[in-house]
Amino acid sequence: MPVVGGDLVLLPSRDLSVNRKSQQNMLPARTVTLFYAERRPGTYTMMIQAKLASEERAILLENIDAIDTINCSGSRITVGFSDEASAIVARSWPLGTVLLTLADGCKSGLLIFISI
Amino acid sequence: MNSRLLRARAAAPRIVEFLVVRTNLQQVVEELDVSYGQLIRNPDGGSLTSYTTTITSYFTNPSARTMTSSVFVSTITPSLTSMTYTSTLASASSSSGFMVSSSSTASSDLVPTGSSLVTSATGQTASTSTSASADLSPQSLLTSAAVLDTASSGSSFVASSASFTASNPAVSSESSLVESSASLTIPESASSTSSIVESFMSSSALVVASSDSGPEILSASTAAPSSAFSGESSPVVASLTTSDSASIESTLAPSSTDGDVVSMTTWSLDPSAQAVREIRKKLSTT
Repeated sequence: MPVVGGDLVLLPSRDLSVNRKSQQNMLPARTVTLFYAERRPGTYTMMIQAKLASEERAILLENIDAIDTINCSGSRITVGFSDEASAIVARSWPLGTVLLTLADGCKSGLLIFISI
Repeated sequence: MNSRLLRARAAAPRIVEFLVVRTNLQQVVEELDVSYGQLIRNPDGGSLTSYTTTITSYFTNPSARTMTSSVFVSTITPSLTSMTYTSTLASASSSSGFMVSSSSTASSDLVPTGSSLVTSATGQTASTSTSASADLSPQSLLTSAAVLDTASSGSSFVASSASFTASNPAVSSESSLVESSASLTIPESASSTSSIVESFMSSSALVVASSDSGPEILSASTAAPSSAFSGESSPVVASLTTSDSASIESTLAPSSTDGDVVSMTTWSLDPSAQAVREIRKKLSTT
């Protein structure tokens, strides 16, 4: 746990510089950029660009504007889209695609702890 | 949460359900590129008239044959009317090859000036600059990068510094957001050896904005993280040194010009600053 008064905690956050309407974000990619920031009004940020192994591809769900809801329950992730076309694209994602999300209720495996 | 998609099925036209077979990135990530930065936001009611930042980075990796150091500035919103960006890089090696370049994602009439390819005879320094004076749309990106080839010398030191000034006196600053950062890419060949990579980066920013009462300095802030982390991709454990100082200066001071050992930085702290704090960072991938 972070030490009170002495820690800087960078939380996984949505990258404001990403154009979430871009269809590119719907395509599984070998490289994903994870963005971290302090709670406002903090100024520290960190980005981790993760290059996956050659056979791996990933989708960062927070970068997709067409996603309305993300629910994690047990071994299932249910994603609700605002339009059917986006849902169709999502169904085309290959088996084995790595999904990354910051959604509440989903295990956050990429929280950055900075502690003294 | 990171989950591997096993299969998807339709539960409703707009609903897609995925079955999770794993929830970590072990064995998935091959390379990590870690960047630090600052977000600068103007308070409500002012205009961003000037933003200047300088960022310095320093990287070592005894095993790396090549290393890429990049410094970039991105504007998020609103657009900026002008931006000047310069970058200078230096190496401890006397024989390393340098390649320096600048680029911009701005419109075609804003082709950056000063793009250059430099292979220095002495290998000590190289510089490049980029400037744009017309409209820079949101999410424009100016980049300066250097690739240091250490194959011939075994050197492991590269430092880069960059500064830029951006301005847009006409645009409301409510959502002004400027980010600058430096990054280090650990080559796969180096990360696999678990070699130690040290990096140092400092940045300072001065934001001048106008309000009803006229121009005023809104903030002068610094971020000076220094990190040493292993090249192993998972998990990544890093240590950072930072300070809450309102002004902090640093001097790159390599202790050796012909070996792999490079000393840490000399710090000059504002007398009113809090003591430099040693903080540790852990990136959990489990």
